[in-house]
Amino acid sequence: MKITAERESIELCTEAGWSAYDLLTDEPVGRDLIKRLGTLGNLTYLGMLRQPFFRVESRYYLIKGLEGERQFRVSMLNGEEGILERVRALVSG
Amino acid sequence: MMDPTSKKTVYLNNAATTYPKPETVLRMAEEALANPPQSQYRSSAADTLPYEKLCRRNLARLFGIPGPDRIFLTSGATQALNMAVLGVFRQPDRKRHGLVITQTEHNSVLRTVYDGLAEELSGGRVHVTCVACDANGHVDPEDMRRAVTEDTALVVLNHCSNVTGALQDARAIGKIAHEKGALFLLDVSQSAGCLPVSANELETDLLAFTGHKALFGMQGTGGLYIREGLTLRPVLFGGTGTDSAVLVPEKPFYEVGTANGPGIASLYAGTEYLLNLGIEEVMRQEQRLMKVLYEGLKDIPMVRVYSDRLPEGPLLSFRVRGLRPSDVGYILSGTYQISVRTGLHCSPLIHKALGTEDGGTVRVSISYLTKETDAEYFIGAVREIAAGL
Repeated sequence: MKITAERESIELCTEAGWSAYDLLTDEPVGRDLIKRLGTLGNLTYLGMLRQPFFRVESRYYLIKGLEGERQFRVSMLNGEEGILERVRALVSG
Repeated sequence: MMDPTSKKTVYLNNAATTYPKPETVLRMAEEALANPPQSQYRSSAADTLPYEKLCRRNLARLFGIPGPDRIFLTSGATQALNMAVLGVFRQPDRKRHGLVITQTEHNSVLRTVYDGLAEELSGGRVHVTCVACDANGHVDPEDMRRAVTEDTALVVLNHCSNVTGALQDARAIGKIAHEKGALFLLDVSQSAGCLPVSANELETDLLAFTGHKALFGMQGTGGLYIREGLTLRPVLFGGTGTDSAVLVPEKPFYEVGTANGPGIASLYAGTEYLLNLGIEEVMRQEQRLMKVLYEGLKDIPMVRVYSDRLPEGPLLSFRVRGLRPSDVGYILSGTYQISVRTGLHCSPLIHKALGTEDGGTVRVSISYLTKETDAEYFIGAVREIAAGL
């Protein structure tokens, strides 16, 4: 799996004080990737929703997305942009 | 529940900006851009732009203002509120020091007060009193009575909360301000065009409005009504198309620089649309739809609505137990193609009264042009999300 684009999120106001990026992928986000991303923090997986929702959180960043979509969001406290590199590695990984 | 196979967005974020706009608004804006600009003159000139003249006339009718020339067009409510608050407190001959605001104010007031007047505040030349609201967002006029003193220069009130939809008793609060000799500034950003607003009946000296919400104009439009006989210190200076050789004009100009012609044309069309409909019809339709939303959400066990009664305004806030508001917004957008607003909604203080300081709320908001099927689809989506937790 590859990241095809990284877009600064237009929803910055919802994550006040944070930066947010939508990472676009060449394949739909599946459970394997969700599990790998889950190693970065506390994973919440809501599998009973029409489209399962996941959230991985730590004090410094938040990753969330919908299973089956070709994108997910990575939000981070300003100065914690290093998480993007770890996420890129897990996606290609 | 309707299946969103078309991937068409269901837009329920009208408290931010209304969408769609009436066809006439689109046509008028296009016409204004396609044709040569009509004139460079402003309201104080004898030969004003026809769109400007018509727009001011319509706004005066909507707001019960006797003199359209006392309506000054701005880039929106934020500029209007800056003009009003800073204009009162930067008057060189100001005798009073008190400024009374409420917990429901938007950052367009809060930042103007706490940042824009920072030097006056730290120097003790302005004292701010912030009056609390209840858990629905209502301000008790008796609390205002206790806060307003003989030293109060200005009372600012957000007419309709952009978080809960609560409508304030502006007339009572305006009366209290006047009894103590203070000026009364009413922010009608969320009520203009969808609820009755009468500058005179509501005892306003200053009325700030935005054009791109229920008035159906374009973004970048709005205005400030300044009561006849009241003078403010301007916050912007520049060309006016008149008295160009005079560098320090004797009388203040409140509209400077090139006017937003297409925006004003769109606002004229939006106000014309509303005047033809009548505010009563807008209220009737919106209250019917709000009832669908309010009762539908109240009926979902995992959902908490932040109002114990049907809000007066065309919006409401809620949370889903077990999910952050931003997660609810993400799921609604990603799975159901429903656009709502999540977070603090630029009104940070009211969340203390609601108990939602951590993450804010999900806000759903409608306009006259919102379809009932969209409201029903939204309720179905929230019900499905809650059932999946």
